[in-house]
Amino acid sequence: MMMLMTDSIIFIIQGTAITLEYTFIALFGGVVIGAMLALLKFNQIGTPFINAYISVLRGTPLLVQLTITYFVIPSVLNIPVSIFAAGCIAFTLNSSAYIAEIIRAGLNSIDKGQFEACHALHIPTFYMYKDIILPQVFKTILPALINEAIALLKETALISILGEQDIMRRAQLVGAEHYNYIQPLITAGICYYVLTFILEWAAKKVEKVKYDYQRA
Amino acid sequence: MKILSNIMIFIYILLLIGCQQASDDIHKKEILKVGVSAEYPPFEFQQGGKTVGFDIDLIEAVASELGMKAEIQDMSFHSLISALQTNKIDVAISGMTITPERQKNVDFTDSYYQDTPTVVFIKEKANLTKDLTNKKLGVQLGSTPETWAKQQAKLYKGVEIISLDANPLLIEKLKLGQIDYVVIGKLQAIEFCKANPALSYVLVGQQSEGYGIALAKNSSLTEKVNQAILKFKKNGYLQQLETKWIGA
Repeated sequence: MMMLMTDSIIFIIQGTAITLEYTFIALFGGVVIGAMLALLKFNQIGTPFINAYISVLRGTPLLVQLTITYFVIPSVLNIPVSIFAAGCIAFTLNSSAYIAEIIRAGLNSIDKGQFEACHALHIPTFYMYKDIILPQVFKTILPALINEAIALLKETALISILGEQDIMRRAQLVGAEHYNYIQPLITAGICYYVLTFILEWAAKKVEKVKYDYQRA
Repeated sequence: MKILSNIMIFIYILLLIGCQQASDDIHKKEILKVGVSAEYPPFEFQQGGKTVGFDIDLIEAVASELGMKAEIQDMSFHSLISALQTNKIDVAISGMTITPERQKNVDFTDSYYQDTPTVVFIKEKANLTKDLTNKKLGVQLGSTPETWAKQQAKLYKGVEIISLDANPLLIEKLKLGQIDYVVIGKLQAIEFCKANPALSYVLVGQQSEGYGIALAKNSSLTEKVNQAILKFKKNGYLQQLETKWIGA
Protein backbone atom coordinates (compact mmCIF):
# COMPACT_ATOMS: atom_id res chain seq x y z
CA MET A 1 0.00 0.00 0.00
CA MET A 2 1.41 3.36 -0.91
CA MET A 3 2.28 5.81 1.79
CA LEU A 4 0.72 9.21 2.11
CA MET A 5 2.90 12.03 0.85
CA THR A 6 4.21 14.64 3.22
CA ASP A 7 2.32 17.48 1.54
CA SER A 8 -0.94 15.55 1.93
CA ILE A 9 -0.27 15.14 5.62
CA ILE A 10 0.56 18.83 5.96
CA PHE A 11 -2.63 19.65 4.06
CA ILE A 12 -4.65 17.67 6.62
CA ILE A 13 -2.82 19.21 9.59
CA GLN A 14 -3.59 22.70 8.26
CA GLY A 15 -7.24 21.94 9.02
CA THR A 16 -6.37 22.15 12.71
CA ALA A 17 -6.68 25.94 12.64
CA ILE A 18 -10.27 25.74 11.37
CA THR A 19 -11.23 23.00 13.82
CA LEU A 20 -9.78 25.02 16.72
CA GLU A 21 -11.46 28.20 15.52
CA TYR A 22 -14.91 26.61 15.68
CA THR A 23 -14.15 24.86 18.97
CA PHE A 24 -13.04 27.98 20.82
CA ILE A 25 -15.76 30.24 19.45
CA ALA A 26 -18.43 27.66 20.32
CA LEU A 27 -16.93 27.00 23.72
CA PHE A 28 -16.65 30.68 24.60
CA GLY A 29 -20.13 31.47 23.30
CA GLY A 30 -21.47 28.33 24.94
CA VAL A 31 -20.08 29.28 28.34
CA VAL A 32 -21.48 32.82 28.10
CA ILE A 33 -24.98 31.76 26.98
CA GLY A 34 -24.91 28.65 29.17
CA ALA A 35 -24.01 30.70 32.26
CA MET A 36 -26.86 33.12 31.60
CA LEU A 37 -29.34 30.29 31.10
CA ALA A 38 -28.09 28.50 34.21
CA LEU A 39 -28.37 31.64 36.34
CA LEU A 40 -31.88 32.33 35.04
CA LYS A 41 -32.97 28.77 35.66
CA PHE A 42 -31.32 28.72 39.09
CA ASN A 43 -33.31 31.79 40.04
CA GLN A 44 -36.47 30.29 38.54
CA ILE A 45 -36.88 32.92 35.83
CA GLY A 46 -38.42 31.66 32.59
CA THR A 47 -37.80 28.06 33.60
CA PRO A 48 -40.25 26.46 31.11
CA PHE A 49 -38.62 28.26 28.16
CA ILE A 50 -35.11 27.37 29.24
CA ASN A 51 -36.14 23.77 29.84
CA ALA A 52 -37.63 23.59 26.36
CA TYR A 53 -34.50 25.20 24.82
CA ILE A 54 -32.19 22.74 26.55
CA SER A 55 -34.43 19.79 25.85
CA VAL A 56 -34.67 20.52 22.10
CA LEU A 57 -30.97 21.30 21.63
CA ARG A 58 -29.85 18.26 23.57
CA GLY A 59 -32.52 16.04 22.06
CA THR A 60 -31.83 16.56 18.36
CA PRO A 61 -28.71 15.54 16.47
CA LEU A 62 -26.18 18.30 15.92
CA LEU A 63 -26.11 17.31 12.25
CA VAL A 64 -29.80 18.24 12.00
CA GLN A 65 -29.25 21.54 13.82
CA LEU A 66 -26.35 22.40 11.55
CA THR A 67 -28.35 21.60 8.42
CA ILE A 68 -31.31 23.66 9.64
CA THR A 69 -29.09 26.62 10.49
CA TYR A 70 -27.37 26.58 7.13
CA PHE A 71 -30.15 25.57 4.73
CA VAL A 72 -33.55 26.16 6.29
CA ILE A 73 -33.24 29.36 8.32
CA PRO A 74 -31.67 31.42 5.49
CA SER A 75 -34.41 30.46 3.03
CA VAL A 76 -37.24 31.00 5.51
CA LEU A 77 -36.00 34.30 6.94
CA ASN A 78 -34.38 35.34 3.66
CA ILE A 79 -31.03 36.29 5.21
CA PRO A 80 -27.67 35.10 3.91
CA VAL A 81 -25.87 32.80 6.33
CA SER A 82 -22.28 31.83 5.54
CA ILE A 83 -20.91 28.41 6.40
CA PHE A 84 -18.79 30.02 9.08
CA ALA A 85 -21.75 31.80 10.68
CA ALA A 86 -23.94 28.69 10.48
CA GLY A 87 -21.23 26.60 12.13
CA CYS A 88 -20.62 29.14 14.89
CA ILE A 89 -24.33 29.53 15.64
CA ALA A 90 -25.13 25.81 15.62
CA PHE A 91 -22.12 24.76 17.67
CA THR A 92 -22.51 27.63 20.15
CA LEU A 93 -26.20 27.01 20.76
CA ASN A 94 -25.70 23.26 21.03
CA SER A 95 -22.85 23.52 23.51
CA SER A 96 -24.68 26.23 25.47
CA ALA A 97 -27.45 23.73 26.25
CA TYR A 98 -24.99 21.23 27.69
CA ILE A 99 -22.94 23.87 29.48
CA ALA A 100 -26.07 25.42 31.03
CA GLU A 101 -26.81 22.13 32.75
CA ILE A 102 -23.19 21.74 33.85
CA ILE A 103 -23.16 25.21 35.38
CA ARG A 104 -26.55 24.67 37.02
CA ALA A 105 -25.16 21.54 38.66
CA GLY A 106 -22.25 23.64 39.90
CA LEU A 107 -24.62 26.27 41.28
CA ASN A 108 -26.61 23.59 43.10
CA SER A 109 -23.44 22.38 44.75
CA ILE A 110 -22.94 25.73 46.52
CA ASP A 111 -24.21 25.70 50.09
CA LYS A 112 -27.44 27.63 50.63
CA GLY A 113 -25.83 29.31 53.61
CA GLN A 114 -23.53 31.29 51.34
CA PHE A 115 -26.48 32.93 49.59
CA GLU A 116 -28.08 33.70 52.94
CA ALA A 117 -24.83 35.15 54.24
CA CYS A 118 -24.58 37.40 51.16
CA HIS A 119 -28.12 38.65 51.71
CA ALA A 120 -27.41 39.27 55.38
CA LEU A 121 -24.33 41.30 54.45
CA HIS A 122 -26.29 43.23 51.77
CA ILE A 123 -23.90 42.20 49.03
CA PRO A 124 -25.51 43.19 45.69
CA THR A 125 -26.59 40.16 43.65
CA PHE A 126 -24.17 40.95 40.78
CA TYR A 127 -21.14 41.00 43.06
CA MET A 128 -22.39 37.99 44.98
CA TYR A 129 -22.31 35.91 41.77
CA LYS A 130 -19.23 37.53 40.26
CA ASP A 131 -16.94 37.45 43.28
CA ILE A 132 -18.29 34.68 45.50
CA ILE A 133 -20.51 32.12 43.79
CA LEU A 134 -19.26 31.77 40.21
CA PRO A 135 -15.54 31.40 41.02
CA GLN A 136 -16.41 28.43 43.20
CA VAL A 137 -18.76 27.06 40.60
CA PHE A 138 -16.14 27.16 37.84
CA LYS A 139 -13.62 25.39 40.02
CA THR A 140 -16.07 22.59 40.71
CA ILE A 141 -17.24 22.13 37.15
CA LEU A 142 -13.86 22.44 35.43
CA PRO A 143 -13.53 18.69 34.72
CA ALA A 144 -17.05 18.60 33.27
CA LEU A 145 -16.31 21.67 31.14
CA ILE A 146 -13.14 20.09 29.77
CA ASN A 147 -15.24 17.04 28.94
CA GLU A 148 -17.60 19.24 26.98
CA ALA A 149 -14.69 21.00 25.25
CA ILE A 150 -13.26 17.68 24.09
CA ALA A 151 -16.66 16.47 22.87
CA LEU A 152 -17.14 19.78 21.06
CA LEU A 153 -13.71 19.60 19.43
CA LYS A 154 -14.62 16.30 17.83
CA GLU A 155 -18.19 17.33 16.99
CA THR A 156 -16.90 20.24 14.89
CA ALA A 157 -15.96 17.57 12.34
CA LEU A 158 -19.62 17.77 11.26
CA ILE A 159 -18.91 21.13 9.61
CA SER A 160 -17.19 19.11 6.90
CA ILE A 161 -20.55 18.19 5.35
CA LEU A 162 -21.04 21.84 4.41
CA GLY A 163 -17.58 21.84 2.81
CA GLU A 164 -15.58 23.79 5.37
CA GLN A 165 -12.06 22.47 5.09
CA ASP A 166 -11.46 21.29 8.62
CA ILE A 167 -9.31 18.28 9.50
CA MET A 168 -12.05 15.82 8.59
CA ARG A 169 -12.97 17.28 5.20
CA ARG A 170 -9.29 17.54 4.25
CA ALA A 171 -8.82 13.88 5.11
CA GLN A 172 -11.76 12.99 2.86
CA LEU A 173 -10.40 15.10 0.02
CA VAL A 174 -6.93 13.58 0.27
CA GLY A 175 -8.51 10.13 0.43
CA ALA A 176 -10.43 10.79 -2.77
CA GLU A 177 -7.46 12.28 -4.59
CA HIS A 178 -5.15 9.36 -3.85
CA TYR A 179 -7.74 6.55 -3.84
CA ASN A 180 -6.56 5.73 -0.35
CA TYR A 181 -9.12 6.11 2.38
CA ILE A 182 -7.64 4.68 5.56
CA GLN A 183 -4.35 6.56 5.92
CA PRO A 184 -5.81 10.09 5.68
CA LEU A 185 -8.43 9.10 8.26
CA ILE A 186 -5.75 7.83 10.62
CA THR A 187 -3.83 11.07 10.11
CA ALA A 188 -6.99 13.00 11.00
CA GLY A 189 -7.48 10.79 14.05
CA ILE A 190 -3.94 11.55 15.24
CA CYS A 191 -4.56 15.30 14.75
CA TYR A 192 -7.69 15.15 16.90
CA TYR A 193 -5.95 13.07 19.53
CA VAL A 194 -3.02 15.48 19.79
CA LEU A 195 -5.45 18.37 20.21
CA THR A 196 -7.46 16.67 22.95
CA PHE A 197 -4.24 15.55 24.61
CA ILE A 198 -3.09 19.19 24.79
CA LEU A 199 -6.50 20.17 26.19
CA GLU A 200 -6.28 17.49 28.87
CA TRP A 201 -2.74 18.51 29.74
CA ALA A 202 -3.74 22.19 30.06
CA ALA A 203 -6.74 21.22 32.17
CA LYS A 204 -4.53 19.29 34.56
CA LYS A 205 -2.25 22.31 34.95
CA VAL A 206 -5.21 24.56 35.67
CA GLU A 207 -6.66 22.11 38.16
CA LYS A 208 -3.34 21.89 39.94
CA VAL A 209 -3.18 25.69 40.27
CA LYS A 210 -6.72 25.67 41.60
CA TYR A 211 -5.89 22.96 44.11
CA ASP A 212 -2.83 24.81 45.42
CA TYR A 213 -4.87 27.96 45.62
CA GLN A 214 -7.57 26.26 47.66
CA ARG A 215 -5.03 24.88 50.10
CA ALA A 216 -3.33 28.21 50.63
CA MET B 1 -9.46 35.16 33.00
CA LYS B 2 -10.57 38.71 32.37
CA ILE B 3 -7.80 39.34 29.84
CA LEU B 4 -8.61 36.06 28.16
CA SER B 5 -12.28 36.91 27.78
CA ASN B 6 -11.42 40.37 26.45
CA ILE B 7 -9.17 38.81 23.85
CA MET B 8 -11.92 36.38 22.88
CA ILE B 9 -14.42 39.21 22.44
CA PHE B 10 -11.93 41.06 20.27
CA ILE B 11 -11.38 38.00 18.08
CA TYR B 12 -15.16 37.55 17.83
CA ILE B 13 -15.64 41.08 16.58
CA LEU B 14 -12.80 40.74 14.07
CA LEU B 15 -14.29 37.54 12.70
CA LEU B 16 -17.74 39.08 12.40
CA ILE B 17 -16.35 42.08 10.53
CA GLY B 18 -14.51 39.65 8.26
CA CYS B 19 -17.73 37.82 7.36
CA GLN B 20 -19.54 41.00 6.49
CA GLN B 21 -16.99 42.20 3.97
CA ALA B 22 -16.69 38.84 2.29
CA SER B 23 -20.42 38.63 1.66
CA ASP B 24 -20.53 42.20 0.32
CA ASP B 25 -17.94 41.48 -2.34
CA ILE B 26 -19.84 38.52 -3.74
CA HIS B 27 -22.88 40.54 -4.75
CA LYS B 28 -20.98 43.02 -6.90
CA LYS B 29 -20.21 40.80 -9.93
CA GLU B 30 -22.50 38.40 -11.68
CA ILE B 31 -21.45 35.10 -10.23
CA LEU B 32 -22.52 31.57 -11.07
CA LYS B 33 -22.40 29.77 -7.74
CA VAL B 34 -21.28 26.21 -8.42
CA GLY B 35 -21.52 23.41 -5.89
CA VAL B 36 -19.16 20.44 -6.24
CA SER B 37 -18.13 17.57 -4.04
CA ALA B 38 -14.42 17.39 -4.75
CA GLU B 39 -14.12 13.71 -3.96
CA TYR B 40 -14.51 12.21 -7.41
CA PRO B 41 -11.38 12.32 -9.54
CA PRO B 42 -10.88 12.91 -12.40
CA PHE B 43 -14.16 14.84 -12.50
CA GLU B 44 -13.47 16.98 -9.45
CA PHE B 45 -10.76 16.75 -6.87
CA GLN B 46 -8.37 18.90 -4.91
CA GLN B 47 -4.87 19.37 -6.16
CA GLY B 48 -2.48 21.71 -4.41
CA GLY B 49 -5.36 23.36 -2.55
CA LYS B 50 -7.34 24.02 -5.74
CA THR B 51 -10.40 22.22 -7.03
CA VAL B 52 -9.71 20.90 -10.53
CA GLY B 53 -11.10 18.34 -12.96
CA PHE B 54 -13.30 17.64 -15.95
CA ASP B 55 -16.42 19.12 -14.34
CA ILE B 56 -14.59 22.24 -13.18
CA ASP B 57 -13.30 23.01 -16.69
CA LEU B 58 -16.73 22.34 -18.13
CA ILE B 59 -18.65 24.56 -15.71
CA GLU B 60 -16.15 27.39 -16.12
CA ALA B 61 -16.65 27.20 -19.87
CA VAL B 62 -20.43 27.14 -19.37
CA ALA B 63 -20.23 30.17 -17.09
CA SER B 64 -18.23 32.23 -19.57
CA GLU B 65 -20.73 31.16 -22.25
CA LEU B 66 -23.44 32.72 -20.05
CA GLY B 67 -21.30 35.80 -19.43
CA MET B 68 -20.84 34.91 -15.78
CA LYS B 69 -17.98 33.92 -13.56
CA ALA B 70 -18.02 30.51 -11.90
CA GLU B 71 -17.42 30.43 -8.18
CA ILE B 72 -16.68 26.92 -6.96
CA GLN B 73 -17.93 25.88 -3.56
CA ASP B 74 -16.96 22.49 -2.20
CA MET B 75 -19.37 20.53 0.01
CA SER B 76 -20.40 16.96 0.70
CA PHE B 77 -22.32 15.16 -2.05
CA HIS B 78 -25.47 14.89 0.12
CA SER B 79 -25.53 18.64 0.68
CA LEU B 80 -25.60 19.50 -3.03
CA ILE B 81 -29.33 19.01 -3.60
CA SER B 82 -30.34 20.83 -0.40
CA ALA B 83 -28.00 23.64 -1.39
CA LEU B 84 -29.73 23.90 -4.77
CA GLN B 85 -33.19 23.89 -3.22
CA THR B 86 -32.27 26.67 -0.81
CA ASN B 87 -30.46 28.72 -3.49
CA LYS B 88 -27.09 28.46 -1.77
CA ILE B 89 -25.75 27.50 -5.18
CA ASP B 90 -27.05 28.00 -8.74
CA VAL B 91 -25.79 24.77 -10.27
CA ALA B 92 -24.36 21.50 -8.97
CA ILE B 93 -21.89 19.56 -11.09
CA SER B 94 -20.31 16.57 -9.48
CA GLY B 95 -20.46 13.52 -11.68
CA MET B 96 -24.13 13.39 -10.75
CA THR B 97 -26.11 10.70 -12.52
CA ILE B 98 -29.48 11.76 -13.86
CA THR B 99 -32.02 9.64 -12.01
CA PRO B 100 -35.83 9.93 -11.85
CA GLU B 101 -35.62 10.22 -8.04
CA ARG B 102 -33.33 13.22 -8.23
CA GLN B 103 -35.42 14.74 -11.02
CA LYS B 104 -38.31 15.01 -8.59
CA ASN B 105 -36.31 17.54 -6.61
CA VAL B 106 -34.04 19.26 -9.11
CA ASP B 107 -33.77 20.02 -12.83
CA PHE B 108 -31.10 18.31 -14.88
CA THR B 109 -29.44 19.37 -18.11
CA ASP B 110 -28.82 16.81 -20.83
CA SER B 111 -26.00 14.47 -20.00
CA TYR B 112 -22.48 15.61 -20.79
CA TYR B 113 -20.76 12.31 -20.10
CA GLN B 114 -21.81 8.66 -20.30
CA ASP B 115 -20.33 6.19 -17.89
CA THR B 116 -20.08 2.42 -18.24
CA PRO B 117 -20.76 0.21 -15.22
CA THR B 118 -17.59 -1.71 -14.36
CA VAL B 119 -17.05 -4.57 -11.93
CA VAL B 120 -14.00 -4.39 -9.68
CA PHE B 121 -12.80 -7.55 -7.94
CA ILE B 122 -9.79 -9.00 -6.12
CA LYS B 123 -7.46 -10.68 -8.63
CA GLU B 124 -6.69 -13.71 -6.45
CA LYS B 125 -10.32 -14.50 -5.85
CA ALA B 126 -11.16 -14.13 -9.51
CA ASN B 127 -13.31 -16.99 -10.60
CA LEU B 128 -15.26 -14.66 -12.77
CA THR B 129 -18.35 -16.40 -13.91
CA LYS B 130 -21.29 -14.55 -15.24
CA ASP B 131 -23.33 -16.17 -12.49
CA LEU B 132 -23.96 -13.68 -9.72
CA THR B 133 -26.08 -15.99 -7.57
CA ASN B 134 -25.60 -15.29 -3.85
CA LYS B 135 -23.02 -12.59 -4.52
CA LYS B 136 -22.73 -9.33 -2.63
CA LEU B 137 -22.46 -6.30 -4.90
CA GLY B 138 -21.27 -2.95 -3.56
CA VAL B 139 -22.48 0.18 -5.36
CA GLN B 140 -22.60 3.90 -4.76
CA LEU B 141 -25.99 5.23 -3.76
CA GLY B 142 -27.84 6.79 -6.70
CA SER B 143 -25.21 5.93 -9.30
CA THR B 144 -25.57 4.41 -12.77
CA PRO B 145 -23.97 1.15 -11.60
CA GLU B 146 -26.64 0.90 -8.89
CA THR B 147 -29.29 0.75 -11.58
CA TRP B 148 -27.29 -1.95 -13.35
CA ALA B 149 -26.88 -3.94 -10.11
CA LYS B 150 -30.61 -3.78 -9.47
CA GLN B 151 -31.25 -5.25 -12.92
CA GLN B 152 -28.84 -8.10 -12.11
CA ALA B 153 -30.63 -8.73 -8.82
CA LYS B 154 -33.75 -9.53 -10.84
CA LEU B 155 -31.87 -12.02 -13.03
CA TYR B 156 -30.01 -13.96 -10.32
CA LYS B 157 -31.12 -15.37 -6.99
CA GLY B 158 -29.74 -14.11 -3.71
CA VAL B 159 -27.91 -11.07 -5.05
CA GLU B 160 -27.38 -8.65 -2.20
CA ILE B 161 -26.82 -4.99 -3.04
CA ILE B 162 -24.92 -2.85 -0.57
CA SER B 163 -25.30 0.85 -1.30
CA LEU B 164 -22.82 3.21 0.33
CA ASP B 165 -22.13 6.91 -0.06
CA ALA B 166 -18.52 6.88 -1.14
CA ASN B 167 -16.63 4.70 -3.57
CA PRO B 168 -13.44 4.54 -1.45
CA LEU B 169 -15.46 2.91 1.33
CA LEU B 170 -16.68 0.25 -1.10
CA ILE B 171 -13.13 -0.53 -2.15
CA GLU B 172 -12.08 -0.90 1.50
CA LYS B 173 -14.99 -3.29 2.05
CA LEU B 174 -13.97 -5.26 -1.02
CA LYS B 175 -10.40 -5.56 0.22
CA LEU B 176 -11.68 -6.85 3.56
CA GLY B 177 -13.72 -9.48 1.76
CA GLN B 178 -17.03 -8.17 3.07
CA ILE B 179 -18.39 -7.87 -0.46
CA ASP B 180 -17.63 -9.87 -3.58
CA TYR B 181 -17.73 -7.21 -6.27
CA VAL B 182 -17.83 -3.46 -6.47
CA VAL B 183 -19.73 -2.00 -9.40
CA ILE B 184 -18.61 1.54 -10.21
CA GLY B 185 -18.00 3.79 -13.18
CA LYS B 186 -15.27 2.79 -15.62
CA LEU B 187 -12.93 5.68 -14.86
CA GLN B 188 -13.04 5.21 -11.13
CA ALA B 189 -12.49 1.48 -11.61
CA ILE B 190 -9.34 2.11 -13.64
CA GLU B 191 -7.98 4.56 -11.07
CA PHE B 192 -8.76 2.32 -8.08
CA CYS B 193 -7.00 -0.59 -9.76
CA LYS B 194 -3.95 1.61 -10.39
CA ALA B 195 -3.85 2.54 -6.70
CA ASN B 196 -4.47 -1.03 -5.51
CA PRO B 197 -2.43 -3.57 -7.51
CA ALA B 198 -4.38 -6.47 -5.98
CA LEU B 199 -7.53 -5.38 -7.78
CA SER B 200 -8.69 -5.83 -11.32
CA TYR B 201 -11.77 -4.86 -13.30
CA VAL B 202 -13.99 -5.88 -16.15
CA LEU B 203 -16.44 -3.77 -18.12
CA VAL B 204 -20.05 -4.84 -17.96
CA GLY B 205 -23.32 -3.49 -19.23
CA GLN B 206 -24.05 -0.77 -21.71
CA GLN B 207 -23.56 2.93 -21.43
CA SER B 208 -26.70 4.16 -19.75
CA GLU B 209 -27.80 7.32 -18.04
CA GLY B 210 -25.09 9.90 -18.00
CA TYR B 211 -23.89 12.69 -15.77
CA GLY B 212 -25.87 15.89 -15.81
CA ILE B 213 -25.61 19.35 -14.32
CA ALA B 214 -28.27 19.87 -11.66
CA LEU B 215 -30.15 23.13 -11.13
CA ALA B 216 -32.94 24.18 -8.81
CA LYS B 217 -36.42 23.15 -9.96
CA ASN B 218 -37.68 25.49 -12.71
CA SER B 219 -34.45 27.47 -12.67
CA SER B 220 -34.24 30.17 -15.32
CA LEU B 221 -30.72 28.99 -16.13
CA THR B 222 -31.53 25.39 -17.13
CA GLU B 223 -32.27 26.20 -20.77
CA LYS B 224 -29.17 28.39 -21.16
CA VAL B 225 -26.86 25.80 -19.58
CA ASN B 226 -28.38 23.13 -21.79
CA GLN B 227 -27.66 25.19 -24.90
CA ALA B 228 -24.08 25.69 -23.78
CA ILE B 229 -23.65 21.93 -23.33
CA LEU B 230 -25.17 21.29 -26.76
CA LYS B 231 -22.72 23.77 -28.25
CA PHE B 232 -19.77 22.08 -26.53
CA LYS B 233 -20.96 18.71 -27.80
CA LYS B 234 -21.04 20.03 -31.35
CA ASN B 235 -17.77 21.95 -31.37
CA GLY B 236 -15.86 19.08 -29.80
CA TYR B 237 -15.00 20.80 -26.52
CA LEU B 238 -16.45 17.92 -24.49
CA GLN B 239 -14.29 15.54 -26.49
CA GLN B 240 -11.24 17.69 -25.71
CA LEU B 241 -12.06 17.58 -22.02
CA GLU B 242 -12.37 13.79 -22.13
CA THR B 243 -8.96 13.54 -23.75
CA LYS B 244 -7.46 15.98 -21.25
CA TRP B 245 -8.80 14.40 -18.05
CA ILE B 246 -9.65 10.84 -18.96
CA GLY B 247 -7.29 9.94 -21.78
CA ALA B 248 -8.11 7.54 -24.54
